Amino acid sequence: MDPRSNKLYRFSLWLIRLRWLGVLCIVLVTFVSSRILEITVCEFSLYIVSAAFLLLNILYRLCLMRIKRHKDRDPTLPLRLFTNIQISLDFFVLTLLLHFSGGIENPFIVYFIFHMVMASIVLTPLESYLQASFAWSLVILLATLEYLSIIQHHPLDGFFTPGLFESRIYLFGTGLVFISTSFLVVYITNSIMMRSRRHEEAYLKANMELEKKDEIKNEYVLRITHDIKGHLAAIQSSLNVLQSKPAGSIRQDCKEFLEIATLRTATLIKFVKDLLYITQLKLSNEFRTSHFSIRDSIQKIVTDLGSQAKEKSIHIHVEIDDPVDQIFGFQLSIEELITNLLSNAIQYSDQNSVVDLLVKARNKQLLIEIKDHGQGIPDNEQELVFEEFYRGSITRTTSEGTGLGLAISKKIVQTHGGKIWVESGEGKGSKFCFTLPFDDPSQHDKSPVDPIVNDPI
Amino acid sequence: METRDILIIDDDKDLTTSLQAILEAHNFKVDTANDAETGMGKLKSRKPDLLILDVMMASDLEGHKLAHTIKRDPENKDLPILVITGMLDTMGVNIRDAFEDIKDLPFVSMMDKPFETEELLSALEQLMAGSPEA
Repeated sequence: MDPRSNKLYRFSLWLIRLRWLGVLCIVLVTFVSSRILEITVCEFSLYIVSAAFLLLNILYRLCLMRIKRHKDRDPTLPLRLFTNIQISLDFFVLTLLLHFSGGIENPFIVYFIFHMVMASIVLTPLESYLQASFAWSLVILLATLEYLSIIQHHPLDGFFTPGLFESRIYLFGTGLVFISTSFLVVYITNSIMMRSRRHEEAYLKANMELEKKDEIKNEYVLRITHDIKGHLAAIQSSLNVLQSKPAGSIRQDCKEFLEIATLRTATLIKFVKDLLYITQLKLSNEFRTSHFSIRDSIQKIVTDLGSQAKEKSIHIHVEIDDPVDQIFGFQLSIEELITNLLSNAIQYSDQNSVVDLLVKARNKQLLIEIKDHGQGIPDNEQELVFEEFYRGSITRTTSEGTGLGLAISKKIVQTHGGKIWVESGEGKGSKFCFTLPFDDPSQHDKSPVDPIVNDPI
Repeated sequence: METRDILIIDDDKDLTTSLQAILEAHNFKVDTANDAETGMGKLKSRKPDLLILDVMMASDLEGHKLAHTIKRDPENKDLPILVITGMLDTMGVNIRDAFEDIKDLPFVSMMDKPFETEELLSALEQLMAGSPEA
């Protein structure tokens, strides 16, 4: 269904719901007026009209269901016709109700105005002017017929000054006010609606343009990435060819530069891959989430990082609280997050020290703490370490590291609806902590604004 | 152990040349082709034990098409193919579906460019171990 038809459909549904309430109110008001306030109203006739109104509403509901069921046909025209018929018939029923409850003397005549506002919201300006004209024609016809005694006038004795329906001045005045008010109301509502429609159109257009631009940008990133990675692949494998040459076949002074080139190429490759990963994390708002055992994941990560730890004679001390096992999330990225933090901890720890990996259950959340015994992070840098491309005073001196690792970690935690922070001080080592919800997918932070739905490969 | 015959189809001549040198240093017999047509010709004449194929060559999905053409030939249905691409871990908007169905082909592995020599060797080993032909 296109937006316009959808609007008409929802409006009809709303109108039908409102009508159930309307029927109930008419019956109640009639009952109270007649039985409690002892006003003379044609109680029986009003109940009959209410019943007819009720039946009509059931019919509307069925019609609407029928229109919706015909999916192959364009519903715009039938819906427009249907809405117009509903409003016209409502005016007719309102006129009947008015007739049986004092005619033009009844202040409930203002209900016509409410209906005109509703009609103007959803119908075209021409349609709403025609509906308004139809409404006041009905009211004037009723007043004239009652005035000329062609049909009986049912006075509201005890509520309003009787005999007003015979006063020409009153009839003329009320008619004038009614007609001018109806046109004014339709005019005002239409102008407001036109303005809001224009805004809506502009918004939709802007949104479409944004989506188009986003697509172009994605294509662009894709193209550039492919080209950069292609060049890097050729450089890396060419360097590998030289590296694999038997010892002595490359001059010692050349070997040094070959090593620098190899190392820098590796760093650049990691940088490009990290950059892509974080771009992808920013663009995605759908993850391939599943239940998995964090216990198994941690064991695997610790084994994988064993050799890196062994090189510096670092012992990884793992402690997992008993109840902690299954969690819900994107397994690959959570494993990447833990690997990242643990690998950092090993890298920045002193030789022959211990890295603690503590896994706890806190306030229905998983809390993981990774503590090293390294140099620590100065107070003024602790806020910044999670920023993209930020490299701390200690890491800046090395050519390794892309300045993206912790930014990626933060993004992964945020996407899962958790928090990440660091507790550290110069010379005291660092403790990186993060929380992840155990099981509630609805708690996930859907903050990425981009509408593109994409999950990482 | 007999020498394995590998054919590399990639439009990046520098990459095919260096890969050839690396693989030859690891006792593979290697031939290269820098476009799909030459590649198909060499595939027919040499009947390699394994094929290394780039996804994006002259056109975006040329390698993808080629992989399907090769696998349609009953003679090659068991030929192990290592598909290499620089796009594997990017947000492949249109390309991801193509990747998904290439992954479903029998005896096909995918690897992200650039890769380390060790990664390449272990991927080749795994592919050959799993294939009845090699």
